[in-house]
Amino acid sequence: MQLDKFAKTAVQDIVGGAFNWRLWSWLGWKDTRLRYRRTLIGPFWQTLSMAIFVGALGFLYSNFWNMEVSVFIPYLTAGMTAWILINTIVTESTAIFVASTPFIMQKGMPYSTFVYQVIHRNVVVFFHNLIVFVLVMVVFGVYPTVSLLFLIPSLALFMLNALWVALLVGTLCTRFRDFGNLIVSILQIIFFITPVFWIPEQAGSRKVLFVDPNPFYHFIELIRAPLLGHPPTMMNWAVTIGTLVVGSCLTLIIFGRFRSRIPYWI
Amino acid sequence: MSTKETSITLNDVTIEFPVYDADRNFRKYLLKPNIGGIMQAKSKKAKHTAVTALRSLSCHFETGDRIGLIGLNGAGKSTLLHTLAGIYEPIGGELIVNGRVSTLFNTNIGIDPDDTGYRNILTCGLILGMTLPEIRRKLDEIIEFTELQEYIYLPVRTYSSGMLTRLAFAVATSIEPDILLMDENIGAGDASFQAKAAARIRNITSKAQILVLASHSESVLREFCNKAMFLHKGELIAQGDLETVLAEYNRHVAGTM
Repeated sequence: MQLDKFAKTAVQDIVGGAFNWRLWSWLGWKDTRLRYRRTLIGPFWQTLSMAIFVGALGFLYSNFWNMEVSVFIPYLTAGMTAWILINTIVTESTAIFVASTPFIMQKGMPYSTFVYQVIHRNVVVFFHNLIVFVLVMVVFGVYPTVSLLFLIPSLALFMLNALWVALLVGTLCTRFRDFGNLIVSILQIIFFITPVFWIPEQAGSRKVLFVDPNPFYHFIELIRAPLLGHPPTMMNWAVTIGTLVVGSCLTLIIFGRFRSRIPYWI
Repeated sequence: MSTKETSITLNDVTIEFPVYDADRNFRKYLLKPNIGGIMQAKSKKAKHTAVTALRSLSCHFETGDRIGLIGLNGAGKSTLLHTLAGIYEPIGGELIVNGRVSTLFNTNIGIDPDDTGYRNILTCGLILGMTLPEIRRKLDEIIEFTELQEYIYLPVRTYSSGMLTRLAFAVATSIEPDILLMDENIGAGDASFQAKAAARIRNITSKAQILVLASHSESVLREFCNKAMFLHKGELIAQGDLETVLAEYNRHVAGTM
């Protein structure tokens, strides 16, 4: 095997793509800008639908779970903000290269450019959605603590993971079109088995079994914890950094191996 | 621009296209252990479906070379252009390109119908590898060429197809590459615009140090090129001086009739 060669190809693409920042930041902003076009609130529609979702589910489930609304709704909002980020990035990754066909067929360029574009766009949407959380904080009198600063390394780690996920998912889904549909339906299940609208403590002693091994839980915590005013746990960091290392190795090999095939597959 | 001489070198370049029909998908990979057994797996490996689009192609171009690619449909002209552009990576052989490459394959370089013409110029320019200041410098000239005037600030969705063509053409031809790769079949709008378009193409091709042009038209080839490559079914039949290769091509076409 020529693993080092694959890794080199992949790293070249990833670094080259980063240097292509003029293009992807422009395309990322363009996506956001066009969402505002001809609508009154543009990307805030997603924010609004999240607000409605959180409001409705928040009151209902806080009753089910016998929790204070003022505790549950901020928890749910922070969790949903993180979940939407994961969900959108993974979903959009499935079509990332196919959607960029006109660009890819125009000239040779680093394909990671389009991954950065997707990440850029979703970070912007994330901050739109964060407005719901700010409103929730005001309504329920939750105040941010110094732990909010953990959001910076958290988001950075999040994005590094998004990079390998998008490249890997994008490559596989370009070759095997069925993968895209599969991933989208799996995501739906993951939403229900990950503590977003329920709390890990509800699993009781089975938390070790059902919650802790779920990497998505740790990614959600990475963002939810700082928003709710406490730092992510050591386990959260360990799992997400571990995922980054293992996932990146996998991506370097698979993306590096099949990168040159992508224009033939699209 | 670059310290290195502008040049293109191909050594034994081979390009293969994998062929996937609806059957060769994920389903088969997933179900393989259940249905096929060893024999299927074996025969599958042997039966690697691929179309060889270019076979062991070698050539070398330098500054001043204007190469016409000739050949019947499916000869590999477009594939060769896409390979030179760095889009298709050869499965065999090596490709060395020195110099800034730009392409004129189709003029629809990712134009977004919801965005204004103005913004689309910036987007396409960035895709072509220009920087924003570089594009801004050329902006007036591009807008003037499109004859769109104040329409440039309207979404492209509202344009007529002629307006769209002019916009796309103007941006695509605004770059000044060292190496220009061009497909003849680029749209250029109505008759009055075509004369303007031809002048513009003449202008950028004269600025490029190397031009590679795929065309079926002998008059076009005679106007722009001094050398030619004759491709047939992915193989290089003849290369060299334009007239010699054209003669060879015509003999070949007459022979197959």
